[in-house]
Amino acid sequence: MTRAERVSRNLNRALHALFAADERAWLLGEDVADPYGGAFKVTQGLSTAYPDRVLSTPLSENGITGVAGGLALCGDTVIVEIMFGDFAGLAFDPILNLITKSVTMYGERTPMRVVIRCPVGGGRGYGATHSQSPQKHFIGIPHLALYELSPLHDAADVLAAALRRDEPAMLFEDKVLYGRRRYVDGRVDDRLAFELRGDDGNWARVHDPDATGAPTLVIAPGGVADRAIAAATRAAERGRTVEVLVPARLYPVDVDGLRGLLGGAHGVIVAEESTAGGTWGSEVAARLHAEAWPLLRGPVELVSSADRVIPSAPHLERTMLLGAEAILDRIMRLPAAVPVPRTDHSPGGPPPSAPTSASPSGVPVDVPRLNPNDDSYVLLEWLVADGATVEAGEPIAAVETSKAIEELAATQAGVLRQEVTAGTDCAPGAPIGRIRSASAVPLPPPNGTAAVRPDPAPVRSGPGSPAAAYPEPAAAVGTRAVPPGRPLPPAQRRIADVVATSHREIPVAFTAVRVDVTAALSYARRAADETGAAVGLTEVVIAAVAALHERFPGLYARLTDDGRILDAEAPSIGLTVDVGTGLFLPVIRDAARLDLGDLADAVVALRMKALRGRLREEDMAGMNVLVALNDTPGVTVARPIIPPGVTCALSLPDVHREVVLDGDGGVRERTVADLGLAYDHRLVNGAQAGAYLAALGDALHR
Amino acid sequence: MSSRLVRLVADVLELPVDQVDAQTGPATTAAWVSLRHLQIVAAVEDAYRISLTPREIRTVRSVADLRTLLAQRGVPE
Repeated sequence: MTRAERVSRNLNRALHALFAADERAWLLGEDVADPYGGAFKVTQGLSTAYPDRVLSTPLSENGITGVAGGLALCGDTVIVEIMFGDFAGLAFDPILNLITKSVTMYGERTPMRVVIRCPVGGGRGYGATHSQSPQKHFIGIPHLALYELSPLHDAADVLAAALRRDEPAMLFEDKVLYGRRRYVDGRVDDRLAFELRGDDGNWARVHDPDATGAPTLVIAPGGVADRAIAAATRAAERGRTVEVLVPARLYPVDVDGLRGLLGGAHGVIVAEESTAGGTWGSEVAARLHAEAWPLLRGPVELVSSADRVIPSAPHLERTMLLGAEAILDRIMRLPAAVPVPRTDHSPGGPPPSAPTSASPSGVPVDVPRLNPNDDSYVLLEWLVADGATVEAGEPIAAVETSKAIEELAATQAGVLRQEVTAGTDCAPGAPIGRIRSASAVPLPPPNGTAAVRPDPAPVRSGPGSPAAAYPEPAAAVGTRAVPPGRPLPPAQRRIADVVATSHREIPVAFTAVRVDVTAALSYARRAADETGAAVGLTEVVIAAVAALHERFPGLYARLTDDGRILDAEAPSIGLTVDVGTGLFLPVIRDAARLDLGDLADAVVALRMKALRGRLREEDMAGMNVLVALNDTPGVTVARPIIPPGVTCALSLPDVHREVVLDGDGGVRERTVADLGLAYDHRLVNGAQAGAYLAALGDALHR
Repeated sequence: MSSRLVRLVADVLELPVDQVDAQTGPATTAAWVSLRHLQIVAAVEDAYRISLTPREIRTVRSVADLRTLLAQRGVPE
């Protein structure tokens, strides 16, 4: 079998092909001519084959790029090689003010076929000014596209795509890639495959075709691809499904090429080697948040190199540049998704090991950002005892957001050390504990039983006094004054926040009507008899509420902070669910499309989730009207709370029977319910509310 | 002797075992309200390591229906 060619050879071949096909192509750069053939040998052979068009230049990135601009203005194609991308700053002026502006500055569109190649990145011990990743400094310049070399894309395709735009482009080439071999034939290794997706095959998707769990997507440029793939492989050993997405074009960001993958993803991480702050990853996150927020499970997470100057010493360089470990750590900090079978590629081999770079004090257990709205959550409970041994992926804590309870999973195997007590508020990103590798924890005494947790001895210091395995924080020493009373249970605090916000922000009015539900109950019974599955008045009312959306869109609309009304595209009906585990408001989305049986299934599914403690943020999202079930026996009327962001809440109390006079002076019995409608008076007036309830009554009576 | 399933339902409904039989269901037993229905289903799922669909959950109207679902899955009662 033939081995895949190296990345530098692939790029060299692409350049040769370009020159063979385009007799107006130039290549300018320092030491690019043979026999040197460029600092990284990418241009070898070109000056021999095309001596008049491949020119070694003086040391002047500004001058080289300016000349390239002039040649492009004359209609030529120019490849510029900046020996180290760090020096691209010297070419910033002609990039910013000449070659990009020239595309439209002269009154008509002028093709500017310039590709500026920039070897970038560290990992070679070249030091502070020869190892940087300056891609972020070139984002957002009109008519400038940014590309990056990748082991998954053919360089010829990338060059062609860049030139096809007839606009300037920069091609960033991570130096560590040059000597690596390309991935070909759709395979990365025995487990992972890859495919090219989107326009021009822009996105390379590396995935495990046999994986079943919702994947975490790691978006990485070509230079970081190998590190992301290594992290994905190790994450798979710990039960996580990870897909790596590598674009050829960094900017403009190709969101469309990702769209089909985002909906099924468990989380999205952007990994890049540049230092944090104003990065390409920030741009990706901003674009995904703006254009694909409904598809995301949570905010896009970023991971970069440390905010420091890059050292020359390789052992120090490794500590600050983004590595596979940092990517893996970020993956494992995401709550576990649908579990997948643990992959073992070496039958009989050792079990997955802890990250080798874990510090002696262990890895922190951080609270991830679980939604974009909350600034703090409540650590509801620890699911594993302090000092207990945990497995990677094992749920260890329950955190309550404003809407749901989420379980946090251990990011690695080891011994859990709790640092925050249950019931405490915790901010997204804040550590609540640590997991130390079991080998770093002192063994129990020989006659011990299961005492993995060390003594909570005071911290000792000084020569000959070994530090305690788990130094107690100073705040834990001594006695604390306990305030009188007992704390509000965390589950009720969530409700308290919603109710208090509703009362504070929503000027509510309330109307109730008595509705004859005799026919509705008969309808439900018939449906149950026909299908053999229970259907109740709740489902019939939900169906009626969904059906009224088109006639009364204002009652399903939302008032924005700046006083604008946003209509709902479809009725997504919230439902109060209290099965003894707390009050929750899960949502049945686009309820008008569901028949009565499907609605009943949806209600049962949500109630079972509540009972099992499995309701998640996504189950609560998107409500535009609430049906509050106040059907405790004997309740005749109830005034529901309007959740913030919703305009109306309908209460469905217990039904009761009454005797009424019929038209001919006789009496008859009927079953009635006093439906109540609480509504935001800023959006809805009494007449609308009355008309809505009358329409609802008619629907139920029919 | 009562079956495991009957004992399980009786536990959830907080009824003596001898008051639960195949016909016991929401139509015959006041204690079998909607919340207890979900708790019975959850208890059966846990005890027999099965998972019922929402539609199946709604079809359960008696202990006999639960028995039928177990039989359909080949799970001994």
